[in-house]
Amino acid sequence: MLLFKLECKRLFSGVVNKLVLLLFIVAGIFAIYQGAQGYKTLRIDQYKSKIVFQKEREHVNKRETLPAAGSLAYYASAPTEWKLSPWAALFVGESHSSMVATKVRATALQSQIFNREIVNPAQQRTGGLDLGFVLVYLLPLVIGILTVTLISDEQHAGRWRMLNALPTSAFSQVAKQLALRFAVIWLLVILLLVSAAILLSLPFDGIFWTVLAATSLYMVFWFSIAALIMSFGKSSVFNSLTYLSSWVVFAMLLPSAVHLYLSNQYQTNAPLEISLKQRVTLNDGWDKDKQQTLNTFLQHESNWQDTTPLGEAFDWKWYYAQQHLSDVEVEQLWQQYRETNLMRQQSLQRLSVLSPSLFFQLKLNQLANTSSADQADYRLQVAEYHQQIRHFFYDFMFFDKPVTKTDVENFPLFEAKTLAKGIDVWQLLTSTLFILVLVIVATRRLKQLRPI
Amino acid sequence: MINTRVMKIFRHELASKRKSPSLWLIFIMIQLLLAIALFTGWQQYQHNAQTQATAQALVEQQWEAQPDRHPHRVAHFGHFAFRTPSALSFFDLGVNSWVGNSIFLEAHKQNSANFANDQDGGTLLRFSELSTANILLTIWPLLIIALGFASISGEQKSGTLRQLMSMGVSFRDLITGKSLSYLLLSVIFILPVFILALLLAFSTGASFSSEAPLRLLLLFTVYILYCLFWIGLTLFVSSLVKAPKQALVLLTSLWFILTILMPRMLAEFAHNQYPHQKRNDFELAIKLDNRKVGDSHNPNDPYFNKFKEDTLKKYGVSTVEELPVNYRGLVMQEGEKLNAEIYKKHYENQLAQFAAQQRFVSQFYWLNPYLFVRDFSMALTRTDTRHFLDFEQQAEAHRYARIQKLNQLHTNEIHHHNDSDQRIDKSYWQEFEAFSYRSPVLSWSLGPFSLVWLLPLLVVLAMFGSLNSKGMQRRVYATV
Repeated sequence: MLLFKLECKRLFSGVVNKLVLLLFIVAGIFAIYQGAQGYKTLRIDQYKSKIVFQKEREHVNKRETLPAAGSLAYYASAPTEWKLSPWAALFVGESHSSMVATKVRATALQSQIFNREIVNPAQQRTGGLDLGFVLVYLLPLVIGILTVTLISDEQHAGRWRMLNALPTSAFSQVAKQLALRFAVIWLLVILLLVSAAILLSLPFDGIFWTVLAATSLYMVFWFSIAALIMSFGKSSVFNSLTYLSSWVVFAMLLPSAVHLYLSNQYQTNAPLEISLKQRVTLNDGWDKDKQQTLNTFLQHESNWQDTTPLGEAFDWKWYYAQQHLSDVEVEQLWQQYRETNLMRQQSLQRLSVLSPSLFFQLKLNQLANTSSADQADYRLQVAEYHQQIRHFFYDFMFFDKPVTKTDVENFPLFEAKTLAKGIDVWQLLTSTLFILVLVIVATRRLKQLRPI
Repeated sequence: MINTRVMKIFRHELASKRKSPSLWLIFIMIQLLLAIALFTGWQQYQHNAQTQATAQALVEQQWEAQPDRHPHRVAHFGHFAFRTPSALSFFDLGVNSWVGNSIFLEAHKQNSANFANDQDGGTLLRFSELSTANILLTIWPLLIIALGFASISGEQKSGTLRQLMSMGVSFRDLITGKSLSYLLLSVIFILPVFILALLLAFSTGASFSSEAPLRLLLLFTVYILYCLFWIGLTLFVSSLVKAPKQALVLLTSLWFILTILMPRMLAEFAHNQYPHQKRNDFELAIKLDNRKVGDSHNPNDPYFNKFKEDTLKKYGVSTVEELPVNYRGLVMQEGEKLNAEIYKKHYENQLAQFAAQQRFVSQFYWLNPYLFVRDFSMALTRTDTRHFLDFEQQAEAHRYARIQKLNQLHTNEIHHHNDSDQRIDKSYWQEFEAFSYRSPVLSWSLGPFSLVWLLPLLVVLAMFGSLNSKGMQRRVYATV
């Protein structure tokens, strides 16, 4: 007990140790607060879009005569919603740089889904500070500063020889010190996670325990790296620099290299090509034979085949037919783009095992539904909803049905699919296994360390 | 100030560093890293420049190849403005990944730049890209720390400081000699990448402006000053903290705070303090304002009824059919004007918020020179937010001029009777100027930095001043 008190005293005696722990807590609290704010603006955006659309519908229904279906469809920009988990407040991923409430209407889809959120690019460039950042990048540095010089400090103070002479091995002394540091940092992490959970009213469900387990594993990984470095029995300075270098490699260089590789390997101008091609198609459509356009359209959408032929005057059904045909025209490009993206994501998954930091970061974003795969998924949901909207209006336009007030009220609303993403137990297990091996190696090496 | 003793210390420090194999290893590795960063940046730049130029040429050709058309259809056909990357963006990518590369220019509507390269940014770009500037900004300071953290505290610990003292070496000599040696190492270290950058800039040929060497020279100066800041800070901490290990831990903590934590906190805080509108809010506000003023497509709109009266009075006629020009064209012009004014009002609000966020961050330049050098470097390479917004504004000005020119054709060349069935000759399309982005000149680029560079410089000078002060010498020598 006495020894334990002494060890605690040692841990909290240095100015630097206290400073680092304080920094960790301050950064964590700041990140949670910022995350809560940011998440709130996202939710407000989504909620407001719904309200605005509801108001527009009421506004339309207050009129004495409703406009033609085609005109109604032209102005009916319906809201959609990227279903984020409340954890998105802590692991923001792509959610702040892209649209979370895209509006979509029955005109050509491809000109609507590439809209960008307005961001201050200078702010994006800094990289943001969410709890994910604190856990993935700051946490290892805290671990390093508190542990990596343990043995070398003992050596330096001349106690290492003495400890080795004691009946209880020097290793068990070091192990105790490491365990103490692990416990202190772990408690701080729990403190942050629990206060975040309470503040954001996150349920203590599978995700919470997964985040906690993954963070603990990640901590074990960096503790083993520190132990491995210590086991070489070099000076404090050598240890610190080596640890810092490994952090730079895992946290900064490897993710940048992966980014560079992916950008080169999966370079695509598809969105640009799509919009250029669609524009020309749409425009040329006005000069083509309108009945023929309609016939081509009906081959694609055979449910509305029984429509009457076009007259002389402008007809909305022709307008929407050619809007859809312009989507059909670029369909192949769009599919290619999606495939490239899918391959890119798979590649990222594979490459992320190169760096535990990258792997951990990716997993956290995936847990919060904010990864780029989730974004692509949302985009697909928007495309599906767009089809729903189109089909809703086609009935009126192609069968000359007038829109009634009940129809306006029955307009289909976007329903976000909650992605029942199972927690990948296998990945957790393989990571555990990998880290376990690392722990064993580090422990064996530490045990063999003898005073010089 | 530089006497033989200083030179001796200078040479000795260099010699001792030369002997360290691990330093050589790190040196070579970072040189390689820099070369890779520069090379990939260059590739990316060329690829982007080519893509944007090809696309711009394509849309210009599509525009000119249009058949006889009604001008308003052409206005809806629209045009594109492509953002050519700035010539020095291979050195500093700046905010390039976070901004769109092209803007669709059409009638009645102002679009924002789309199609950015920010895929997986939330996972992979948490420390921004591996650009040359980024390596110099974040990784090089770590090396300076590794070189110098033990320079004073180490001498103290090993007792050599006492010997130096007894030989009559003043603390000032020691600091000057060591600073000079680290500065020389820094110059040796970053000079190759600048020479390479200069060569690459020259090889761009046509797009290479006469300003580029000047910009590179300024970049070189500011990065050297940045090195000086870190050298000063390292020596300062090394003098104040007795154990080399503690100096190292303190310095790396400072490094983390200055280059990683503080920039993020400030940016997030600035965004909270001066929030800009999100896309949906921005577009909704514009839509509502447009509704208030009038809808040019609606024949019973009060605003446009008044406009009609005024127009008729001006020409001294009683019906629109009697007008010598096409009234519909006039309405289009007026509508576009109103719409552009409303957009401008809201857009300028956004700009003001962005500027306020940037001003907030720039208040801390003196405390954290990293922020200053980062922003200064982006301004010099034309890759900061301000330059991007300049592109957006130029594109909008181009859009407005183009659409209004079409509306004038509509007014003068199309008759009011049977308006929509008429077309004008395709030769008119050749009279439109292509969109080409005018790169801002150096004085514009550095506009926001007119005086703010003074404070960070003063901080560096003050740091060296206090290092050289008698008080510091007493403090350090007293503990020997």
